[in-house]
Amino acid sequence: MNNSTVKFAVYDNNNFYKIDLSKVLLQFTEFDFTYFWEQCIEAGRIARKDGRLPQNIISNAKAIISNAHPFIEACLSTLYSEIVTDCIIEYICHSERISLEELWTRCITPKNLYETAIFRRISEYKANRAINRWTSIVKLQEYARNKIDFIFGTSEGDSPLTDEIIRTRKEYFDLAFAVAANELGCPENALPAVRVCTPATLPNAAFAVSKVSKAIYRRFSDALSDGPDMSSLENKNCSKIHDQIAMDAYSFIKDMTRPSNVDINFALEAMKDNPDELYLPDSFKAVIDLEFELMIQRKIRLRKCESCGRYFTAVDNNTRCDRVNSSGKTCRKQYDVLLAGIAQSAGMSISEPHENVPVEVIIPSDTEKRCQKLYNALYKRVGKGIDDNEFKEWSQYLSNMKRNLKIGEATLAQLDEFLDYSDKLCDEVKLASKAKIPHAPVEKTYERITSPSPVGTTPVPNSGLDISQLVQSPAEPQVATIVSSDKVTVKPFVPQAFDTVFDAFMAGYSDEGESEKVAPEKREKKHVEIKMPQWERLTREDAYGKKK
Amino acid sequence: MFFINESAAINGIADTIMKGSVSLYNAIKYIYSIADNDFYNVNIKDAFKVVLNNVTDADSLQALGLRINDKTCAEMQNKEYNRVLPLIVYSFAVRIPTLKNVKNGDDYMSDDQLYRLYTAVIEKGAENYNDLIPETFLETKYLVRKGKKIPHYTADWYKTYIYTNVPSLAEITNKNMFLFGLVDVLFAMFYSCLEEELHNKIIEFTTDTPDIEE
Repeated sequence: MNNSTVKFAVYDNNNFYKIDLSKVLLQFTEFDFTYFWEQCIEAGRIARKDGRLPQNIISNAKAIISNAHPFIEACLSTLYSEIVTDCIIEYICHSERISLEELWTRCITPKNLYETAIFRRISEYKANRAINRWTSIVKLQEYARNKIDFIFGTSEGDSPLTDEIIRTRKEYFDLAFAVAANELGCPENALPAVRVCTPATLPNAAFAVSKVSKAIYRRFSDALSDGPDMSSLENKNCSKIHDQIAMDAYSFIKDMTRPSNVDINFALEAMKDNPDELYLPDSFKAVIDLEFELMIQRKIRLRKCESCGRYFTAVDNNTRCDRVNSSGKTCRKQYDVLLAGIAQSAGMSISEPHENVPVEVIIPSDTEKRCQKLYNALYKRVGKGIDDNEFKEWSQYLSNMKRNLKIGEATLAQLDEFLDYSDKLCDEVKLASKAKIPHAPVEKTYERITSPSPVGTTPVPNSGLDISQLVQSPAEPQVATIVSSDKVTVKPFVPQAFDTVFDAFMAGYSDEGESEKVAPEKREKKHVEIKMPQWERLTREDAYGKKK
Repeated sequence: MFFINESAAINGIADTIMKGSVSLYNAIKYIYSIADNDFYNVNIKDAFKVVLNNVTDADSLQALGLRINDKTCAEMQNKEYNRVLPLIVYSFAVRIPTLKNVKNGDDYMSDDQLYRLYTAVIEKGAENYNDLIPETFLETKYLVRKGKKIPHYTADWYKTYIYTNVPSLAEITNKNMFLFGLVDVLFAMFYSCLEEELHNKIIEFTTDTPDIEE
């Protein structure tokens, strides 16, 4: 049997209904009755004009409220058949500030079907034959919310929520209710309760398991037709004579022999899908209490979301729920994105990243134009100020950047930054092409972005680097050699910046020294040697195309 | 008194008296059923309010969950008790001369109109079984003409009939004692409300064409 699911039956209904433990409870406590309420008010408005309640709106409203809880769905044609009238009555009393008695007196000589419906319903309240089911649902929703908060809520200074604590809290809550009921003199049999049955021990088992019941009746119909009429006991207090009544009924089948294999197989076929255990609540509160009890028995916990403050079913250690909030993301994903953002701005990688959330970034047309303009400008100068490989690397970087933006792994700010860098590069290339020399390096240092990797992974798997490191490393400018795993063939695009010509000159002799700066744990790995650009020593005049 | 359609008015008023009689007859049964199983569920004051506000339709009491059947009113489901209905009709019929006091301006119902109304009601099914009801049409007519006080409408004849003719209700039981208590109050109040209903009906017939009931 599924640990998180139970089935229940209700009186006057031969069907069985399912409860998904904790889900049904949360669904009920968070159910928004606004639409139902609006439909009822609309029905009341039309009924006041037409003299009768509009059946289509009533059906619609009942369909809405049946989604709030399986118990309401199960009892929609019995206990909750007049839920719309109940809601209208409540609305009239509330809006016109009149008492129920006053409304009843107003409708005591009904002039139309609408007034008759209201008069009949209030009469049922007065004769204890019904309650206002609408207000009852609202109160029970509050009851369920309070109980959840009492049992699963946490505050500073509380002990850790162990199973024992949760059970004790629940028992305390129920006991408080029992004490209040007892002190107020509520009779024991007037309080909500649940019976545990099987389909064959239900009070209406003869109808709930009708196929087999018919076969049994055929066997004993002769004897039963001669039996006494016990229906007269219906309105008598039989609490002390249950056994006597039961044995009187049993006496008519006491000689029953086991049926043939054919009959047993027929019964097997008819009953194989029936649940092993079935709950029979006598009220809505009983169902709510049953769900709490079973949740605690089966160690299903609720936890308060640290973002939205609503409860959710705790399946792991996460403290945020999977409900979609106003941002269009779930609290959990929103929090993960926030964490990633913090890590990115701090230049740190997340040791155990949560599921990455791709947020698609649409590139503005201005930026697109800027990209195209830069591309054209650099493409014109391939072989002049910039060589073919360098251009390919640059264009590949731009392409990857755009693709990463679309899958949410890069931001517009990063693209803009790259374009700023590219502008400078372009200026350098222009100057160099005029002087027919290779362009000078620009200030910022970028590494290559590889092809986009699946969502949730960093662009360079197993490298220990995240996208923030790959895109930009402001703290420590990248050097001419990088450490790479064997799996990744990186040919980094390394425009370096030097403060002085001397620095640039010295860079050519610094391979050994640079290798010492690499983290010690990575020294064992294979180093990819990067060819430095072939620097040509030029005078300033040569570089700017001026002659002495 | 001038009616737009006199025969229709006479019939209409007679119908109201008949409906009132049936309503009282049923109201007794409905309220009697409270003693069966709803003694602590139904407030008898509510039941009275419903009956007195609907003097021609006691079935409104069903809204309170009251039912007339062989279980709740077993003691009343017999031939002897069924004679109560024509007795009720007769008890109302002999008081028809009091309708002379209903005035529309200076106009009021003539003796002839009142007698025709009395005849119509008697024809619809009234009977003074064993002369249980001491009043007569002529006696009431005399008292009205002389301006003397008309005796209050009471349940004395009803109780006499029950004690002498309906053994199942004459027996001293919780339910039956409840019945005798309730009819004392109900009869007097019901008649008062029925009188008001008849007054309204008469005025209605003089001023406008009455609604044809479906």
